[in-house]
Amino acid sequence: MIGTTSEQRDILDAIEILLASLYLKKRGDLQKKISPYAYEFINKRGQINEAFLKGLKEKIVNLPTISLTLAFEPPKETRARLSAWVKANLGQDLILDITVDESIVGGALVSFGGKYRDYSLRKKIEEVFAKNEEFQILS
Amino acid sequence: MTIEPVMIFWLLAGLIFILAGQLAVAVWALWSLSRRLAEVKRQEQHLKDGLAAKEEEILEKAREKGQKIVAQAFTAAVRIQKEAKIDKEKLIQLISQKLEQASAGILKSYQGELEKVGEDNIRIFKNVSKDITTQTSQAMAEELKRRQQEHFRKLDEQIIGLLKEVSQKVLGKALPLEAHQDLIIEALEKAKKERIFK
Repeated sequence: MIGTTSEQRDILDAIEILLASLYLKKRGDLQKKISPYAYEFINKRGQINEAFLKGLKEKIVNLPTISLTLAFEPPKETRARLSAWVKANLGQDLILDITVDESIVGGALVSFGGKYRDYSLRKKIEEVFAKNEEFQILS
Repeated sequence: MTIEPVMIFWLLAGLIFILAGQLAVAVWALWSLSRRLAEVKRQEQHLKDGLAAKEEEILEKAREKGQKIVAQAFTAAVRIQKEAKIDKEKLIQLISQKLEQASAGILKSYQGELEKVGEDNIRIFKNVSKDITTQTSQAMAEELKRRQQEHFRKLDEQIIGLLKEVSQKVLGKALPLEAHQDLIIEALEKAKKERIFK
């Protein structure tokens, strides 16, 4: 399961390093050149050879992406919770592309496959003020 | 040539008649002028009273709005708190602090409004001196009222904007990480229900 775009980049970088190393006589300690997460991810999925790596690269590049705009930079804990939700609820390999926009206050803007929804707290606040006549102060 | 006494009599009588006529015209002009002056004074006093009342009205409105802002901020805080599931006391405390800071700005706006009213007073008094017809002064008073309503409408918009801004700024910071996470998961759940991921 790839969680975020930074993890996706990590794995793609690792694949490039592994592909380049296939033609070297001395490969050295590859595990030191790539992140442990990416190494484990690739290693779990098959025998490292050119066909496997190229196939994996294509698959990862073409993974569907959910774009999420959040009000804060999510710490690891939040990223893990979001990735777990995606895995449990959408049951497929998806990438979470997270951007930060403090003005949305809370919640998230969700975008996937050309569809977009605003589930932000900013929108809720706007609705609270728009719905209630008592907020329309008149002189 | 000899002048007949009868002729002298008629000449003098005619002269007296002309002088009497001119005197009558002068008296009428003086009387008319004094009436106009009295009308000017009456109009000025009327406008002064009206504008003084308007100034009081503006201050009263500012006071009422101040109360409304606080009341509405609290109402908004409670509503938003329900939506965001965060600590109500903390949110209200934060909103109150922010409103206190913002109230200085609101008062400044109203002071500006009063200054504008003062400028309008001067303009109206100047115009009244030029033309004292009732219709003109009424038109001026209406123009003044229209402009003030426009100022107030802009102020209202600013105040509502301020409430929104305060709520937004306070909320983002007041939310604990857990509540932020819950809101994001809730957003994903809604997106799933609305078949965004299909």
